[in-house]
Amino acid sequence: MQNYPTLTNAPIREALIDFRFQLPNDFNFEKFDRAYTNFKKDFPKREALNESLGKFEIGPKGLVSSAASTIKPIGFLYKSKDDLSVVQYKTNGFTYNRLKPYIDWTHLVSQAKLYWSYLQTEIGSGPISRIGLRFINAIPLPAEKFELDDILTEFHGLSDGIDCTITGFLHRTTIRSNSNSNQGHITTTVEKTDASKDRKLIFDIDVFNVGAFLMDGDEIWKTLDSLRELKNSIFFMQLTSEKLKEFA
Amino acid sequence: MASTLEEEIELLTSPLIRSPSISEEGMEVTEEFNDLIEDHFEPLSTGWDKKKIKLDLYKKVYKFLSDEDLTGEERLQIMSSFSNAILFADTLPSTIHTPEISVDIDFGVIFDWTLTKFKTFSVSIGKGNYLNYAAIYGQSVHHGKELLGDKFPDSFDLWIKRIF
Repeated sequence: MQNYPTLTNAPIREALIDFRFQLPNDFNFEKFDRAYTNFKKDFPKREALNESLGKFEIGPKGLVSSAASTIKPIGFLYKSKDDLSVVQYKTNGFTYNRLKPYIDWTHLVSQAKLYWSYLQTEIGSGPISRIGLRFINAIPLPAEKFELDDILTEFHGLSDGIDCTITGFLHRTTIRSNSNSNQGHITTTVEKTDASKDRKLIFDIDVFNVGAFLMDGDEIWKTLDSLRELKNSIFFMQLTSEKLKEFA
Repeated sequence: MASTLEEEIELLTSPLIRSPSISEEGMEVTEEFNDLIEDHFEPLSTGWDKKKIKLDLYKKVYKFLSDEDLTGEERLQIMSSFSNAILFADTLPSTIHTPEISVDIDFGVIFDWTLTKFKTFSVSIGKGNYLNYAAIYGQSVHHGKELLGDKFPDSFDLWIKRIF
């Protein structure tokens, strides 16, 4: 495993761990509530999560038969007292979100493990189909004119000779690891803002593994470790050493 | 069954499936991609086909129905307008410009052909079998009703050709 330096001033806006699975249609939401009682004191805010469903059917001769759109409850979102941590219990997944300040990997995983354990006790040991790890970074951009090559080691900008200035971009690279089945989407874009100063480059690293993982198995945590390795390699290799120094 | 599994894997690895973020920056990335997808499906100004118009119509209505504040009655009203709008879309001749489509709780589904502020023609479709139209051409304003049928009204055709 490659060792990367610990950054004291990492530009992380949000880090999250996400598991996808599907609970039965007749799932009893009281199980979410029972799991929630374990940490309700520290996460006093609870919000319902809904999914909007619409059904449209286009039949012969363009005739339309339809059912009205319905709102389907899928679970709950729980916020910590300081709003910096969020736990999501849903019929299609579990997410632990941590907003800045990001503490460290040990803290992120231990918290996710804790809130997952409460839910897992209630829902049993079915399969998880996708494990995700996402880090959203916001990197301050200089107020004066600058080259993106000074920030990113790889960037598909404008060819020399085109007498223009880049004013915006939205770039996504989809990847698959050559050494294991990890995959990911790397997105870079400039934060939308009216002010020319305080602009930030959003550097979103969303890595994941699709497979069948037992809810109560160790494999999910080993997979997360390998996703972290991929995430780190992307972060430390895609940013220039000069830019990284600013976060040291 | 294999194809079902493959479809599921394809769905789970799709860039449209993202680990759900709660930060402003994460939501901005999602929003930008949603805009990009919408642009991709936007009907072309020429050479459009009815499938694109219907897809546009479907997307607008679906988005409108996602509003949790709508009452059940309002939802049914929009769905009736949507049914009539699909029938109307089927009558659009391919020789005219692509309309802009919007959804409004009061006026139902609106098909709009606008060149400038003073050269515009719009048709609003509600739950009834009427097509309410309004035209602005220079200083003159015209409005009226046509019956919704299986043929695009000749008067609409003339108005749109006059504007463009």
